[in-house]
Amino acid sequence: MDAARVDLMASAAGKVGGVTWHHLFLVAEDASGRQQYLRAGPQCLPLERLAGRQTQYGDAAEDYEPSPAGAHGVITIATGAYEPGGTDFDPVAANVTLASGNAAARLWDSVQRAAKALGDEQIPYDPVGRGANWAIMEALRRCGVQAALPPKRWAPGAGELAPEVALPGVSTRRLGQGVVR
Amino acid sequence: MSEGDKRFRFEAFADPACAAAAFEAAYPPGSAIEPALQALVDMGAHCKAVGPTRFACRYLEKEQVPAGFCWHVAIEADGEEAIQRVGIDLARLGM
Repeated sequence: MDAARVDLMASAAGKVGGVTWHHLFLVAEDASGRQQYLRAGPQCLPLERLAGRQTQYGDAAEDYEPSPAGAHGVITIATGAYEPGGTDFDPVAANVTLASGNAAARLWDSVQRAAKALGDEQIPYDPVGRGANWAIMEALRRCGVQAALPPKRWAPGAGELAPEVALPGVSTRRLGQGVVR
Repeated sequence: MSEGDKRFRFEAFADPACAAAAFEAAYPPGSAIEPALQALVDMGAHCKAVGPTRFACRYLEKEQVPAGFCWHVAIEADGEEAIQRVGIDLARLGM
């Protein structure tokens, strides 16, 4: 795809403490208006989220195989047509344009490579650290892009992770971009 | 199906193929599009017209923290407002 524009999208995904959190992904558009997405997500969900659900092969829980990487597996990168009824399609998602024209084509190529490399690293999915939002922003950072989020959108994990701070006798847990002790 | 049995719930499914088959059983091609759209809106989906006879709906399951399912539906109708095609996709969302 010869991208003419690349946008960072923020789609409402749920609420934490009454505040809406957003799922980040990228959408590229070529000169003809054809669009593609690039996204990250968990490889799987914990078994308890599958209980009582059916797949085309039967009970989803029966086919469940735990991932050695943890309850959410590894960070999984996906790309495809951005179209109604397709993954991540959200006509009311907020967006910021990251690049247009020739710069967009270069960015789209490089960010796809960076995202694929990130996926190949098989990074365990950590919903309160290295998760989907972190992965998309990290792929951009690896291309030299420090993207700003769409205004007034909270996307937990989007910031660079601070180095782990080890305090004796104090357990810490990252929540979004803050640190709770 | 009785009215109670007919109520389609995404939460009963874990893949788009199975959900699409069940949705098509409840709202088959040729049936009116309005009840299908109404059912999606009633369950909490956000639907938007993306063409004269095409609608895109996005349904977030309630439990999305720290990760959950998001369903995407495209419904296309003919000039008589009867369902022609339904496409369903499923994405795992996580922070």
